[in-house]
Amino acid sequence: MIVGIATAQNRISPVFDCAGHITIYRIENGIPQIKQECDIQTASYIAKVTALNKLCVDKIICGAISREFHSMLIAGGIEVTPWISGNVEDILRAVCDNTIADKRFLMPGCSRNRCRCRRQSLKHNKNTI
Amino acid sequence: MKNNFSGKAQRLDASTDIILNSINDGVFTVDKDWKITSFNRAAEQITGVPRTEAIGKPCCDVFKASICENGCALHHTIITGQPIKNKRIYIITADGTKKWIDISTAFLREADGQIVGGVETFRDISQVEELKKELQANYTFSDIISKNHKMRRIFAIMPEIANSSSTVLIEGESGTGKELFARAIHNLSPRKKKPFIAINCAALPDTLLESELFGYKAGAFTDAKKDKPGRFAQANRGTLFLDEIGDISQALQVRLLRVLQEKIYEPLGSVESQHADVRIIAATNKNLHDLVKKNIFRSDLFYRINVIRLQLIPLRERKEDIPLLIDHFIHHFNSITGKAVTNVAPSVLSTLMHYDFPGNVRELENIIEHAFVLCSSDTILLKHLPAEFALQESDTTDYTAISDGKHTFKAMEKNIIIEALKKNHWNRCTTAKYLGIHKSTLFRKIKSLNIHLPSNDGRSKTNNP
Repeated sequence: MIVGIATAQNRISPVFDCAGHITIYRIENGIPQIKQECDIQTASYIAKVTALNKLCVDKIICGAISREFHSMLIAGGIEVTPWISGNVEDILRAVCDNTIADKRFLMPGCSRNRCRCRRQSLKHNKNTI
Repeated sequence: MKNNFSGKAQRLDASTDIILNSINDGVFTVDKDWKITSFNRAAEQITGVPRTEAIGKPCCDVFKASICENGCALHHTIITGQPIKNKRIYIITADGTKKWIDISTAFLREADGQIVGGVETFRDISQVEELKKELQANYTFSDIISKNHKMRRIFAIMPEIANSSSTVLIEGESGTGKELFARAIHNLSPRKKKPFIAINCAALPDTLLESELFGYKAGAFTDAKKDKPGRFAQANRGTLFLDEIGDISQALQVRLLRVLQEKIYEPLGSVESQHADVRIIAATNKNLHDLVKKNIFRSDLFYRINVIRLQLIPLRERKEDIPLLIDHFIHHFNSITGKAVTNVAPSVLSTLMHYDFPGNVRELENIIEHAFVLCSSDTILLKHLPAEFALQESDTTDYTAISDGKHTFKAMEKNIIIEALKKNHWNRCTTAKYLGIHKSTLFRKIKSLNIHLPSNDGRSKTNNP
């Protein structure tokens, strides 16, 4: 599985719509390996989805995301696990351990009942890693 | 003495809290590590983050603003000592909505002059932005609301369609949002900074439409005193939306065909050709294929505009979108009228779910607008709907009261399903489609709500005519 994580100063980028940098990891047998790093700041939503598709990204782990961009990623066949915050290393470990749905990684104000995008996405992503 | 001092400090903190919570602007403060130290009530309301969850967390994870990663206003103020006033940014709320706010920042200094953090105040300006959007018709992909799978399929290809410069034909009944789709395609496309020009081909007589589209030169006809650029010229490097294209005459079809084929046209009275760098989006509420068969519409023009065809689904075939659209229009009219309507009564929802909406989404919008005029509470009731719905009030009341006289949600749901099954001759697949739910959901509801089906149901009907 190829996972993209939007990062800023070793933390998850707070707003994926405005994220400047994304690190692409290949996760095999629970071991992550950096595949590529790319800048995505100036690109439009369409260009970002196209770029992520070209990089064969299966899943995006990100912080806040607008409904518009979220829909475009889903339409582009990319799974999204939004409303995540914390250090990249912790998040990556949680992705590998399949514990990313833990409450401790949720952004403040984002309970599962409140964040529509996350609820749909977690349902969709169940048992995928 | 010390206790007396700490008591005074506590009273000061409490009064500061009272003051901060009584103002309408959101206020939060951060320490030098960018952790939130105070968060007032307005900040809770605007961001949707409870104070208990915000305190002690990094401000970027709480605020989720467009400038958090690049160009943080508080960072700038604390580093340079320069306050920022009324900067327009957006934050992302917990449901994924972009909310526009105005922010101002200042630093917090201790008595000895040392900077210990910063304060940010912000004001919700989403209402202003909503009105701006209304005036500029600057619609995007996010303004199209649907969870219908056929519409979702259209959403999936929208970015590719927008990115290309191919001609698009949008077919759909009146009120399905053809112009909204056209504007969304334009606003997603590389041409978004250039004009979007819309013209209704059915609204103008043929000769006038020709001069409107192609323009004219001075002296081309009586009263043509000076040159007038046509819509093709106005839409140069942008998008031209030809609404109701099925209504144009054969003669104009030929001229339009030439522009689409050769990308050149001549304004009336001109001997010089002009190049047309325009993307065409055409729309019609008629079936152009049928018009071609009847020789009313030229087949060559049809095939020229039928490069990418989008077929918009009428609202009666995507009833699952009705609650979403009602929510959207309530939010929209709240912004415009300043009212605080929160929802519709269950009887209103059930009435609207049973209505066929010949006027589609536009008709639903008009119904909600009508209800807004009459509604002075927070809930839209049946009496606030237009007269034709109010007439159904007695029917609906009877029908919600069928089961044990209880107006519970389950009883209403049961009655809605029974009515839908009756209407569709107890055929469960047709009923599921009619209700806009999956057939397995319907089967589950029939079982859980204990609905008894007749022995001669929809399936046996087809076998025993």
